[in-house]
Amino acid sequence: MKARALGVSIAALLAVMPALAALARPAHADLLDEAWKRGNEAHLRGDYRAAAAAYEQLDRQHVVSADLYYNLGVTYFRAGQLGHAIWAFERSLVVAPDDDDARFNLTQARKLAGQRAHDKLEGAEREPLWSRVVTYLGPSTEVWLFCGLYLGCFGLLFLRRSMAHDSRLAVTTGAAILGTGALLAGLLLLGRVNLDRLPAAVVLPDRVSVKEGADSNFRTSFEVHGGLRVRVLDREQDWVRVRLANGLEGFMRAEDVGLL
Amino acid sequence: MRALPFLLAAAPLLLAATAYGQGTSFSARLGRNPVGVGESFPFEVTLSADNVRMEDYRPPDFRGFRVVAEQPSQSTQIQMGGGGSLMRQIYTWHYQLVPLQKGKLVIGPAGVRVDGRELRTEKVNVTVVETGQAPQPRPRAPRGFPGFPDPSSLFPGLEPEPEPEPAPADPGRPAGQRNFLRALPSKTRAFVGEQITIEWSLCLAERQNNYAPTKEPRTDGFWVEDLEVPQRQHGLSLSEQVIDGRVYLVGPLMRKALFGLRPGRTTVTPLEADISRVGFFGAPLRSEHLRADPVPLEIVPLPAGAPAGFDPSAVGRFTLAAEVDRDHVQVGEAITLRLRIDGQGNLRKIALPALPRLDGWKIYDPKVSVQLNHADEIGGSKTAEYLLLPEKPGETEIPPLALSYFDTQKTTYVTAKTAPLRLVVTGQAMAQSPAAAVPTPAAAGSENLLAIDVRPLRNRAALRRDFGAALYRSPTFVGLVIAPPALLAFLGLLGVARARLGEESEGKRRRKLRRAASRRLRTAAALLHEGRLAPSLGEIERVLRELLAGKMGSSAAGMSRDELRAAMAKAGAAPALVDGTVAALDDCDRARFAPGSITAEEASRAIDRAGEIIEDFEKLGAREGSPS
Repeated sequence: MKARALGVSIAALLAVMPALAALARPAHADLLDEAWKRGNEAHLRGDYRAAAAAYEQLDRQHVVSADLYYNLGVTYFRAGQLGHAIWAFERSLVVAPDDDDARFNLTQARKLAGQRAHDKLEGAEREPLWSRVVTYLGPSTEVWLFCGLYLGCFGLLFLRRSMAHDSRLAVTTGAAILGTGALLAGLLLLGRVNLDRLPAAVVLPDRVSVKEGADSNFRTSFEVHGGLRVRVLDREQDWVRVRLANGLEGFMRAEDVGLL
Repeated sequence: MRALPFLLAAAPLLLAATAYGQGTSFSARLGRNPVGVGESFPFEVTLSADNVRMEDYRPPDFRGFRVVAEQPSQSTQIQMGGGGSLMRQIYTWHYQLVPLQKGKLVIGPAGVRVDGRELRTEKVNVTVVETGQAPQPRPRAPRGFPGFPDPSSLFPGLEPEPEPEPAPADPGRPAGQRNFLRALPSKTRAFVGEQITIEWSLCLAERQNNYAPTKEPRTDGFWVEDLEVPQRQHGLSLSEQVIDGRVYLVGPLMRKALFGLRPGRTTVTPLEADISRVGFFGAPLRSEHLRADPVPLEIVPLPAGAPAGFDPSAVGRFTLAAEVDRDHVQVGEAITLRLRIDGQGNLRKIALPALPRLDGWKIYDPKVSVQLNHADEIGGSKTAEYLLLPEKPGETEIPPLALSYFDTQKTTYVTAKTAPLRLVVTGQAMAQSPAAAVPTPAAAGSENLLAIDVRPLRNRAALRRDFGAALYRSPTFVGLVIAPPALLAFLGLLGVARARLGEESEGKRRRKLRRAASRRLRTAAALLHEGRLAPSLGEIERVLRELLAGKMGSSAAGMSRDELRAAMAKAGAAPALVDGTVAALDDCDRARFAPGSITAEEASRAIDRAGEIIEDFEKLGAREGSPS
């Protein structure tokens, strides 16, 4: 009886764990909300500089929120910083790929930036299929999906220990189904971790000279404009080595790119 | 004319035949003539023959001379042509002679037998004069042809006399080397930011096949630009130059323009390289490691009196110009301002004058490009293109922009200035940032143009956070993944441990049962000894029932005999053991219900049989490995 009770308890604990994690609020949540409100109010009264400062403060505290990036993007757009706006909308879509508002705004910002300058990449390649599959769902969705399936699988395995022989087959089958689902979700997460090794970024200033080396004295290889997506290969002090979709590489100041 | 192709085809064969027809030659040669008394001079005897057998060489008669050195040598000469090759053996005897007396002396003929044929050289006349009156040998430089092996290198013993190496009048030539690397600076003292050109050249006394740099010079403390080096399509561009009275093949390797970054003495480290010659089949014959001299340089600070805002990189001669592509524009129409520096100096490092803030204009970051001429003196142009976007109408003047530089020729500071630029902007002022055009109420009947805009802010009361997006990068997630399987494994291990503990308690239980059985049998024997037969058999019945309960897992009390048999058979007991156990229990029942019907002997046998049954049950338990 004791073993059975233990198995049931653990299974129940695993079931509620994701819910507990989702409902947990950090100790400084009120401060974050305060900054959020401050940013919104500043934006609504037209003080985009103050609004961006408040949102950036949240970003520096590693707050991950699609809403935050969305509002930051709108603020940058209003302030005329199109490269920054595109970065923020892109980031919002990374967190919530199905956010229609962010997608619309990103399109608008790119359209406006394209009227100023447009980087046409000869021979640009599409993102590989696995990358598109991995990013089809948002990281949050993938994480909760994985957690639910994974913990559910193990919850059933714990239950199985305390069940009679007759009922074990059904529980084992359920655990196998959940385990397979967890494996697939885990593969998606692994792919996302792999993508993080060569993070995508967006060019922030309106125009940037990409150098041949990590110093401003090096020759300019080519120029890019705000909003262009690049991959960051590595970092050398204040400079990052970036690669364009068509394979071109060069060095930019780290402050000139926003990581997604 | 018809015979021409045949003649052309036969030409190589004819040449080969001619070469072959040269046959065998045997000659003597004097190094110089006249010579002074007591002065050494070379003399050599050479036999050139095609695949012959040489024997019985007889040296000349050196009467009147002292032979101070003698060295024979042998070489093979290969001639290609005519679709084949000819090998010629060359035997040479080198002598170093010193005349002992003045006058006309004769060196007698040398002799040798070749393929049985006797050959002799001509006599050689030598004029011997007073010491010091004979003309001295010319410098070695003209010997042989540049690029071809020096004949003397084949005959090292034939050197007339050790030639003293000339003093290195060339500053870039290390003393005592035939091949060397030369580093020639244009100057050794310069201002900070002033160009110094250093050229590294390879100087060869004889042509080499391979050149490989092994160590590049280090130029710490300098801004360096590479200058163009004349190159042939394949390898170095070699030209003949006379260095210290000797002809060398000189090929420029690299040229660098150095701009000192700070004052002080510093040294450019030597260039090092390996050169080598290879044989006919590509095998290395001789290699040599060369090292240029280090180049000490002195960088002196710029004189005092630099104007305000002077950039220390601005050393040289420069001009500054500014122009706009148009000076009358509408609000929102961008113009391009080009700011250009031309001249000689470190243009790549020089900073462009900053554009002042212009009221009513948005100035975008400039696009900077540098065009450099790397021929001799670094120069060219540096251009910055500013995009200026007018935001309101009016007139604006871009004030003169200034560039102060240090003129190295005049050794003074000079300031170059641009002319002021006047810009006129017409149209309506922009209401807001161009990125966010605010729609204005449309007048009746007019077109309501809706500019590109974005959807509005999300003004939620609280910030919605996406924990999941942050979770998978956190250590918590790793713990979440590891915890369930770890817990499952822990529980599994716990179960195994408990099972093992259970096995031990069964063993203990069996041992306890055995001890109890032994104790009851001893009690039964004691009761029998006292003559109390019924209690003795009662003890035997008790021990049997306890044993059966232990083995079968349930009490045997209340079971009919058939049920008992079936239970024992299920427990794995053999039929004989079942029969014996049932018979023993029957005896016990009989003694209990009819005490007078059993004798002491029967009771004693019952005790023995109970002992055997216990033993058989123990064997049964051991065979099964675990209790049923």
